[in-house]
Amino acid sequence: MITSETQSLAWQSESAPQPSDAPAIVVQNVAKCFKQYQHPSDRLKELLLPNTSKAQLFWALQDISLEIPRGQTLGIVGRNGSGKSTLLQIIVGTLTPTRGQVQVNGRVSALLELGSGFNPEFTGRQNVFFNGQLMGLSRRAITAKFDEIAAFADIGHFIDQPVKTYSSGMFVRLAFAVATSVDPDILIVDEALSVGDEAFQRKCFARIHAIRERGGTILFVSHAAPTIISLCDRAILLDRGEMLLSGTPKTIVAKYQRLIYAPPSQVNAVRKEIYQAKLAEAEKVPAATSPPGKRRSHDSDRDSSQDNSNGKGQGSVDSELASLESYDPNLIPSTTIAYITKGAKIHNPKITTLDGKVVNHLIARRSYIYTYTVEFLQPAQRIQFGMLVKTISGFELGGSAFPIAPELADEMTTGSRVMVQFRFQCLLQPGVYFLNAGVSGIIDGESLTHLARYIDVAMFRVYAADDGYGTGIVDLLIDPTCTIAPASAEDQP
Amino acid sequence: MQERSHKLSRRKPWFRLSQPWQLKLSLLKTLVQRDLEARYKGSILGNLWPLLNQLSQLLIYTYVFSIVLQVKLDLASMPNGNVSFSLWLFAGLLPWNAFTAGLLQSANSLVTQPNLVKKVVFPLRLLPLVPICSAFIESLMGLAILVLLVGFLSQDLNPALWLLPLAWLPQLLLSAGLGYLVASFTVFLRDIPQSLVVIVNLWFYLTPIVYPAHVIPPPWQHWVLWLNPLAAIVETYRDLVLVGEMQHWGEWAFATVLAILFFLGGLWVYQRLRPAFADVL
Repeated sequence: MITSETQSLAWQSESAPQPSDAPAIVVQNVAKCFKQYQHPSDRLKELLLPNTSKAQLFWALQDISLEIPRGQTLGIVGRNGSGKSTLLQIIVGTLTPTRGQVQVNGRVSALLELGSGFNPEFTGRQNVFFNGQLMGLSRRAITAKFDEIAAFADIGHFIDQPVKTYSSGMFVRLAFAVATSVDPDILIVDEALSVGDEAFQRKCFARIHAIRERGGTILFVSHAAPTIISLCDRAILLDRGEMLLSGTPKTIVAKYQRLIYAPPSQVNAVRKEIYQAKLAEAEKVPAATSPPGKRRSHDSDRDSSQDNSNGKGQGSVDSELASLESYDPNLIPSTTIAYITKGAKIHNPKITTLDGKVVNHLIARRSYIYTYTVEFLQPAQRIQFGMLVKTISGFELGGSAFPIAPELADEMTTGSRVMVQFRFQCLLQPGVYFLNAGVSGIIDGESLTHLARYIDVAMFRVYAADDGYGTGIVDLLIDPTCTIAPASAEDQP
Repeated sequence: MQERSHKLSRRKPWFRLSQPWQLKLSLLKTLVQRDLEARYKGSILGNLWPLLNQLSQLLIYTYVFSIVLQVKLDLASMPNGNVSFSLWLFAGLLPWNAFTAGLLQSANSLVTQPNLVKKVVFPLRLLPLVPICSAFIESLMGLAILVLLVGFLSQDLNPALWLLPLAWLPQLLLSAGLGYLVASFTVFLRDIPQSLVVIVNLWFYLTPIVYPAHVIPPPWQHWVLWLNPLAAIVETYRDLVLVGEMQHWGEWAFATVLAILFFLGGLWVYQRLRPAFADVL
């Protein structure tokens, strides 16, 4: 049981200096069992008189072993209830593992929940002092840091108002400012940053980066795949309390997303597949772990993959990207709506590569074909085919509606079928996107109307072609360069 | 780093707590300050309230027992008068009220602050101590009133007042020990605070507070004074403040030993149950 050890860590500013090569965190065979009792008093009985258990066991964590070298940023992903928070709480020391050992070397600051030590009746200033003391700082040390904390939180005169008058944004700002002000050796962040506005999130990430640059170790839980990929050196995938996989953030995030989009009936199959991949991996020679401080954005495979903007081929496709371009049968929208079917039906919507291979995992900047077949249920004229790409939130990114080719008959008869193809270049940032499909035309001599309109007929995931300096949604094929600018008198600030 | 250099530049005092202990102590101080502040937060009179509470109690007892019921009590050091019974009663109630208020609130100290237990790493041992310290500090205001009144009536401040910390020692240790016990049990058994109210009520009448110890029938008297540490504490308060002379050394020593045992036992149970707190809350 190490808890007392971990507990005291934040409380020992004079802790013995650890050898610099000792890992920041070592987790050995940690398991956590929550016991569910009919009545809470049964638990008391058991604690005082062991071997009289009436509990139902629930294993939140099973046999987790993990070694995090100093300076590494580790991402933890997993579905809800997979044990991420439990693991963090055990590392921090607020939970005691049922089995196993945790060793933490360095001062830990944990953002398990922002502002958990805040009292709404007191002013921001009072809460800063109180929280600082909770984290083991002396009043003098907090006084010295106070201006910096207030500047970071940037909430102006509200610092002297009771916290209950704060907006949730101000609350988060102050809490984050306090939590990171202790100069932690190890920072543990549990999805806390999803709150707060964009500008502040960026500020938080800047501070996290600063801690990283200083050689700090960071544990980071997030559902946001781009954040994990851009921030972390390594990632692990937790599921149902087990550590399914550990590897580069990119592969882990890909597997994780397979897992979350799997329909309930197939989850087990997907888990098994991931698990077997791990076993297969273990048989190979274990890859050397990248030294701390190495940043993913400087990986060497960047150059080789960058020139793939003109579709497949050219023989320079690295195998990692090739394996990403695939079809995941589980990546199908659950929100498909046949909005209108009035005279036509749309069959078989899909995305293929230029070679005709059906895919829904796409590589950015390559070209693909979105295709579907229209079956006309009654004669129609002046036909137009349409498509639309949308984000998860439904924002319409771009589409097309084009009239039927002139060489085809202007009027479709009942039962005739037309295959429609939209070739497009996937100029999107990594993420998940949805597709619409539609046909319009004139039936029964009425005015132009939708004959068929399907919302969310297909979805696809985009992977970055390189290590991704791009931001936002759309990839503008930006080609950044920089040179030393000559000094000029015309410079305006 | 800054702290350390500062420490070196300072002359070394004869006694110095190790730094973790210093931090813990200053955190306890902050916690108690917050607790006291939060209690009267937003009220205009603020920290005058505990003083007014104690004062009003004293006035009520004087009215009921000295003016209406005219209970007489002879105290060696006091001028014979009607007020002595109310002072005597007040002297007994001071430690009792501090003890029960602290105990009842410390029972809830963990369950009302699950955030501090589950999400923040800090010395959890301090939590049950906070309401006990707050209640004690509030009772000190009453004690100050009492001492001033007695001094005013007898035109003399007796030197035995310096021995008051002797009464506080068993009082605080006993409160803390029982506080640890009830706080940790309440996490698992939410009935504890309710049952405590009942127990405390019974205990009140088993302690010679509203009646003098010598009116207890002789075969019982011994048992009450020796086995009820609160009885010894109450008697010590009265000895020191009203009589001006310690008359219950034996009982006091025994109560102190009991209090130390309770403290160690309570702390042991608390430490043993502590790992499970976060699982349950």
